[in-house]
Amino acid sequence: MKEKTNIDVETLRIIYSRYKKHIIYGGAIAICLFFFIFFTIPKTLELSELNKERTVEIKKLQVLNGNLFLLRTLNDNDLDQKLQTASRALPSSKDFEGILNAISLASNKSGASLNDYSFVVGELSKSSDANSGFPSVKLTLSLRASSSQIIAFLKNLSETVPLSEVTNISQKKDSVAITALFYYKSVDTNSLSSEARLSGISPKHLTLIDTISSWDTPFASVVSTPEGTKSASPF
Amino acid sequence: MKSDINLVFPNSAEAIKEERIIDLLRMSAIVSVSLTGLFSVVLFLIISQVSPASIKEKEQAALRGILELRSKEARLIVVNTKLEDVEKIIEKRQKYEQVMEDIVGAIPPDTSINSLDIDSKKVSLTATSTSLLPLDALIDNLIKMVKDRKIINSFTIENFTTDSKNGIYSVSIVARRL
Repeated sequence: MKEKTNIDVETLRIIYSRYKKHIIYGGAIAICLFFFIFFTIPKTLELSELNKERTVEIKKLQVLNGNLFLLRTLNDNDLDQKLQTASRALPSSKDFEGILNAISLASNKSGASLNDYSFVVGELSKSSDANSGFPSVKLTLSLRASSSQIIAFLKNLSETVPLSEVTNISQKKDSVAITALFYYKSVDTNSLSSEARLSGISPKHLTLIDTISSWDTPFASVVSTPEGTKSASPF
Repeated sequence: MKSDINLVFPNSAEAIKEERIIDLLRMSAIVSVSLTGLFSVVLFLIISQVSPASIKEKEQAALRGILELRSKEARLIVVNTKLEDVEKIIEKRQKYEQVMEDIVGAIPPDTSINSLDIDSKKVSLTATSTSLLPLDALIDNLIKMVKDRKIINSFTIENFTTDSKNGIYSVSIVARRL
């Protein structure tokens, strides 16, 4: 049977003085071990995560610095001009004025006589055409023209802005009905992310801008917009 | 009164053993403290090197710079997006002027077009002539177009009529587009 042991303060003091060095050294070892297990090892394990995070942040910083450099080197006026050209080609909203000008211009250049035209505005809630993926204004126009004038009209229409696509031609003896889609599309700038890599205008797109610029611009679209009206700039 | 206190000194063998244990403990403690300290310092240095905090500060500085040029950034994105869309539209749209030119080119001079309908899937044509020869040439031209895989891949003569009173022949053709 276990005998009950009484340890009073005096006994503890004697034990302490007897094992003082053991306790101090043992305690130091225990503290070091504790520190090693609960601090050094977890922190060492965190290092790889920290390194991964650092790699991600370095990439992000490279993107941001690249974006900043690109934006600083971009010419403001040149960018505005390109934005204007691109917006004329693909307006942000239904540009009826531009459409009418494009038709007039194509008709004048081809020598075709414009009889009548009608717009089909379409479902306002519908965001895009099922085939093309772009919203459009459908327009049916009637021309009095010869076959060669119709061909010239189609060619001229394809080289005017806003961009259009003919979907149907119906020629009768002395007139022709042409159905065309005039495209538009707005760009959502609210969802811009500063951390996404920006790219400058590619050489291919620069050529495209030159091509669009070389097309004859309908007269009214180049007239500067009066103050207070909607401009080509989305801002 | 306490009666279990041992006042007798341990013998020399025990004292030596005790000393050895203390020496061993001392050495272990010194090594432990040194190693832990060294590890901690090295770890601290590595963490301060690896820590992304300084990079995040640089990121914030870059973001502030970009924020000042926000309008320019938005314009650039709009230009790029619009040009991509313009490119897609130009690439996918059909060249109706070319289709029309080829079909009209296939119609001989002594033939007049009563009706011509072109859409993305088919071309419908009604042509008239005072002679059968031009209509025959028209059909030959269309056959050649099918063989050359030019605009149409097949065609059907839907109707052929003769107005014997006025001497006019009429042919209605429906061709399937490529």
